[in-house]
Amino acid sequence: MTPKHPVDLLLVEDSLSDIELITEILEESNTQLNLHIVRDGEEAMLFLHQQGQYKGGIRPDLVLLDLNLPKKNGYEVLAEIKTHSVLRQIPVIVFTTSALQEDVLRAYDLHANAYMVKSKNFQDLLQSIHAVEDYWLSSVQLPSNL
Amino acid sequence: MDESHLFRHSSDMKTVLVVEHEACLRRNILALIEAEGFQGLGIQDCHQGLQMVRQQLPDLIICDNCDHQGPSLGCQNLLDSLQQDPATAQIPCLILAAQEDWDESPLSASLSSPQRLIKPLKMRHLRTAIAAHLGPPTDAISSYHPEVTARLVTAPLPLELLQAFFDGASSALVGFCLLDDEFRFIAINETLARINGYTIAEHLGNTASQLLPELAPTLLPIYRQLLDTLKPIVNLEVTGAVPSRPGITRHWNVSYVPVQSTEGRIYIGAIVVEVTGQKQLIAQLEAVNLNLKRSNQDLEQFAHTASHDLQEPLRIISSYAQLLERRYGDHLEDRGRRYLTHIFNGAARAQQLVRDLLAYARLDAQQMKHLPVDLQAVWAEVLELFEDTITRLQAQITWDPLPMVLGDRQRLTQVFQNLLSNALKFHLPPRPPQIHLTVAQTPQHWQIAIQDNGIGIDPQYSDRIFAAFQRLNLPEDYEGTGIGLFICQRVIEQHGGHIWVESSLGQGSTFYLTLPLNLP
Repeated sequence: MTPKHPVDLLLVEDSLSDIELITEILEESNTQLNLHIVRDGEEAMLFLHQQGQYKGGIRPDLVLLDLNLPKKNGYEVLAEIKTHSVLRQIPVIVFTTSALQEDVLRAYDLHANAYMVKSKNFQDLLQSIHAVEDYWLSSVQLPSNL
Repeated sequence: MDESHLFRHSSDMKTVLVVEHEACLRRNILALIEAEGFQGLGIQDCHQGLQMVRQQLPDLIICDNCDHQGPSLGCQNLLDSLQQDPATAQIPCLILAAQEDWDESPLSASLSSPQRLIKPLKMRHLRTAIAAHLGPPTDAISSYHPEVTARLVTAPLPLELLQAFFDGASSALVGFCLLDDEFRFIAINETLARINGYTIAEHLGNTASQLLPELAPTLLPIYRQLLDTLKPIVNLEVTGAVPSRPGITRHWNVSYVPVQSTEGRIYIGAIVVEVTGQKQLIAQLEAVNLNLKRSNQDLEQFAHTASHDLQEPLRIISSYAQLLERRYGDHLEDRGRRYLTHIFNGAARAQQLVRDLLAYARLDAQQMKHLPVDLQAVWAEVLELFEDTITRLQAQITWDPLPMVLGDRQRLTQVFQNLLSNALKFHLPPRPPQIHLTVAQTPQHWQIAIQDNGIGIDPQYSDRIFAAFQRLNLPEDYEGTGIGLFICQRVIEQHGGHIWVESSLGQGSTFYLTLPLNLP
């Protein structure tokens, strides 16, 4: 199994600091990917539906989704993706600071494909992102490259 | 007060005049006299008593030893006056006196002991003394006026009625019983029997001391007081243990009333309500309340300490990032300087969050005040606080006169501060902020509206903006932690009002809040 290259990853994240951090870590590795970034839930849905400024854009292979977002929050985005007949095929990894059990359960209830807690120190964060790359971007057969 | 109107004079009926200033005792003595089949006349003092004696020529006088009670005509004078008049010289007179008063009274030398009655008065002594002087009553019932006869017929409740009442109310919520003057149970309902821990049959004929040894030291003095004073004792709280549940402290609300039989014998009617459960609930509630108060204080203390301790490392991070930029900024490429910016921003945001959380924790931990607050003064204070921003943005702010409300000034200031801060912050360049505050009055509320011409809010999010940490904008566009409106809502609801927003994107927002009119 050789995944399609490069993978289109949609990062839904409002914090500029987190965006830069994640971008830098991804850049360090050799994974070929196109990183798309949106900053709130409304924009994420426009991107996924290829509407508005994203008309004629691409559909991502994987979504990395923060929960605490301006306007539409992460749960709403997750629910909309997973109840949509086509979009629901896209794996969604929830990537958040919350380790609360109720948040984890709620995300899986809404059919999140994985739930990851943003590590509190850089080294662990690095490992988390690398784990995403190794697993989701290298090992896994994503539906979009069939 | 003269009770003689109750007892119509009858020539062939023996009459007793009672001179007693204390109304309750006088009534009780008169009742006994009546029950014995004699006519009673009541009068308050010796002066009126003497007049009454001359008019009515009673067969017996019972007079309170009133010499020690002031300058008016006393017993000695009354007796002297009676002695001097042949028409009254033969009327026997009984003096009511407490032992200690009697010893000091000049009367004690002139009267032999059978002619006085010791106070506190025992009704059986009174009965004996009256009988000794007057003998058997003279055809008492038939000589009574019809009104009085009617009283006598209905007054003694037929035994079967009383029995039926006791049976019917046997398991009422209220316990009750009758004790005789030696404190023997002569009737008791099921409820009280159960409280005491015996059957009804086991009670009857036995004394309170025998059945309730632990409670007797408490109860007996009350019983004695009742027999001595013949005054009802109501809503007394009695605490103790009874044989039904030995060793367990229980509480009762008790009332005792003197009950007199037609023969003049005094019984004790007792009404008992178990209040142990209520007492325990109140105690539990007080304990919970105390805990709550303590935990609120702890919470506030914790929030204070936490915020202080959290600010410290954040300050270090922020300071050293600035130092790094200052010393080595020139050696850093763009990317490095951007990293430093992220450090500053992260630390600043954390500091703001800590401050907001502390403000929020205080809302719950501190007792809210309910005092008159001049909102006009609050608004002026808030305007002053934002003076620099208002000048910088060339904001135009107008307002109606604001009312007085009842509440917590500090919290209300927080509300107006947050609302004005938002109205200024979310302005839509290039137009300068125009903010107008209006005040309207509804039957129950003041309604205050703060209207701006800023960026506005998508109506689909107009409820959500009041949730904690909810933001509609990116942090680099509009700073803030998303707790301001949450605090506003909390405070307004604590004041018994509501807060909501009407807005659309690009059209400005109007925040409405209501506060009750109820000024004292």
